[in-house]
Amino acid sequence: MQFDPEFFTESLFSPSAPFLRGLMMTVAVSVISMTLALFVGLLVAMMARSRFFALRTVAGLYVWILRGTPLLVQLVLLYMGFSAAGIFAFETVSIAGISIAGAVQAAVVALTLNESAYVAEIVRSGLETIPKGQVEASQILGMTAISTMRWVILPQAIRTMVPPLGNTFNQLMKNTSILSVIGVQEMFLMTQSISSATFRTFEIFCVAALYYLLLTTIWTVIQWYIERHYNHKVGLPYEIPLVSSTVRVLRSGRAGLARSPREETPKEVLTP
Amino acid sequence: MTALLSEKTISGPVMYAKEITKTYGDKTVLHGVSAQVLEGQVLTLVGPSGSGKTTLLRTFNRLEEPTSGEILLDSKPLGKRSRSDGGYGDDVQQLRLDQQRIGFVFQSFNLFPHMSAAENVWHAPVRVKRENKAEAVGRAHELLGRVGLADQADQKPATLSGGQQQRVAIARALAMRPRLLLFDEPTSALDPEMTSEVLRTIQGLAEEGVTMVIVTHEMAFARRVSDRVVVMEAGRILEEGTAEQIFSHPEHERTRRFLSSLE
Repeated sequence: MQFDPEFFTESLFSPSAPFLRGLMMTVAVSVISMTLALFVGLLVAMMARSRFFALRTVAGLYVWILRGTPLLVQLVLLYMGFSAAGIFAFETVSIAGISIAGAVQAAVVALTLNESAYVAEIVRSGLETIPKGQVEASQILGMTAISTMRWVILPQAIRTMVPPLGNTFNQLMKNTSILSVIGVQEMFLMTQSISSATFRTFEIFCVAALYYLLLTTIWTVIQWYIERHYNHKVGLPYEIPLVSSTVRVLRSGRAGLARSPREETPKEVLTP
Repeated sequence: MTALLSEKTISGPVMYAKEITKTYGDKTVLHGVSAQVLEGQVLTLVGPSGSGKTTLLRTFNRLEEPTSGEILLDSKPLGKRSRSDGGYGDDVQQLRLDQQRIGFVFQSFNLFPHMSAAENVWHAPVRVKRENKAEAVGRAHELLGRVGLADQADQKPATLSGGQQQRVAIARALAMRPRLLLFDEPTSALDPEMTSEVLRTIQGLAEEGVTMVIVTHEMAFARRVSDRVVVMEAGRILEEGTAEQIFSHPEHERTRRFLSSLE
């Protein structure tokens, strides 16, 4: 086996500037696409619940097509297909002094469209978990359908939506690697170019794998805290894996070593 | 103490339900039932399960749309607006305004779980009626105090007992300053020891002259609190009268049997 441990540790702990730029691109495209997809997906989910047949149909077609075709096909169609047919071409634009390549714009649009179809389905099923009694309680207080959604249904439904939304964001982060086919300089493409320049393919892809793992791990931890937030909002307990039990062990350990004065005070003294 | 209810407007029944019919498919659950409740009165609807009393109550604020018949709130058709031709037509906005004037307390409380007890109470006055928030919050705490929950104002419903949740629900209904309150089996989902605290709260409201319609299986309570009692069976009114008449001298053999079956 050929393995260069020096190259590996160097790439892992002090990655080159191009690799870091790729990492930043991966994070930025993921976060921006997910954020946009949340809004678009919510809109599509609302359309799917509309009174109007036309809106429901549009929403149904949207989800059907975007979930039923591969992201890779959508991406290439959007970036290369459309311009080849002379319909639309993404060109480099400059926003606040930062120039954004056409491929990056196409990537964000494609990821947002694709992701929003999944978000719409998660929102739809999340809304269905809210009992009918909540709608009736809003109705008898004179709330409109929109304010019932805004103040009663959505805040509760979000709790059930967080785990599946977190799951699809995890997938989205890893799916950014296919953006390399249209030349977006994200982490996978950067890894590939380092690999072809150094021939250390095994080492550098192990490093890339570890960085993807780091990203999804960080997200998992963030997701725990988001889940806890929404559980506490409805007065339910939430155990953060590892952390909660560790904190408990530390606390009880300390209490065992040095009892607090209050605990030593006999009960009779406290009650006059 | 501030007034619990909105000012009196008209003499005559606060609410009059006229020949209410309700059918689901080919099944008729209400056969042209009429009922009324006067200012300051407590009307209770009793009867065996499946007699249609909850359905009838739910038509009173059109949570359940009657198949035919009319609901009058202060002599005006509920949720309708007068048309130029002199008749009345359904109006969504009017329905919302009218529903705000009818408090409803559910069997299963239906509190908003993501809001504290106080927020449950002030939410609709602030967001729906656009009342001043500071005043509405103050009033929410006052109302929670009235139902004996001053200490629990910041608790989420999940941390409250069933009886406490139902009392928050009563405070939430009162916060809208309703013309009348409807109760749909308010203690059926509660343990016996929590039933009494809720019944005491409702009785307190009755003593203050709050107009109420109550569907209940608690006969001793119904006897204590009611001005009028309606006994229902199979979607029809079997017998109607004062609490004394119904419980001490029921006319109908079937009323007697129903009442004795509960003892």
